[in-house]
Amino acid sequence: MTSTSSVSTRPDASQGVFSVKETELGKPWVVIVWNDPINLMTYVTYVFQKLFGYSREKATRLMLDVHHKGRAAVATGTRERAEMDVFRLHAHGLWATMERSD
Amino acid sequence: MVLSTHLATILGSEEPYADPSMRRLFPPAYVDDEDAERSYQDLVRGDLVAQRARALNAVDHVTHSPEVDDEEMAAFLAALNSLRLVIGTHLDVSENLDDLETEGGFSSSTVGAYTYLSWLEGQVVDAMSASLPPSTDTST
Repeated sequence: MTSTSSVSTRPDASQGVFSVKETELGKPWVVIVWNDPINLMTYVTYVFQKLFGYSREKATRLMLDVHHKGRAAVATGTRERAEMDVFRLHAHGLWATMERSD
Repeated sequence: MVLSTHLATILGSEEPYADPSMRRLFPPAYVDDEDAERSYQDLVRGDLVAQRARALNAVDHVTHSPEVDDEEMAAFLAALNSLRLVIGTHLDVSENLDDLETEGGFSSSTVGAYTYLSWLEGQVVDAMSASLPPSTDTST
């Protein structure tokens, strides 16, 4: 991920716009899984364990967040990493999207 | 297997969203960026279709083989889940499976197939969960 602090130390006075752009690029992305009435709860837990290496407890907690709150952030990272995670979740039939972290 | 054939047909359709379940099989990654979403779909759609087609091909093998390996079981599970997504979308299922019994329009065989596939997938998930490698995640 792009480091924002290294950009801000550049001495060039014209860096204002550039550093904003860099900050945007470096902003982590969040992978969101949304609740749906079709996927089994045990299946969703299994997919979180398999794809992210999460413990059964953590995977279950995330699954319950999805189930009760309607959505849960299951992973964060660069845009490329988030897109790969979304792709793997889609390949497993989960409804996943990605958005910039607030 | 009639259901697998039906899914294979809609996966091969020229019209990306001609069947309502296709949107469920290929959800959007970006909800508020049309250009990024188009690029994402262009990038992944072929792979997702190919993966699902391979999984469907595994169904026949798995159901007729005395022994299957983990990869074949994973493909079988993926096929079961895709079939449930397609049927469940058409049935417009809610969280409560019992509602299917009383809400109208669908043949009992479709509801029965969905219920059976749900039970079968649960069995496969339990078996696959038991053979997952230890967690690699150190966070809580």
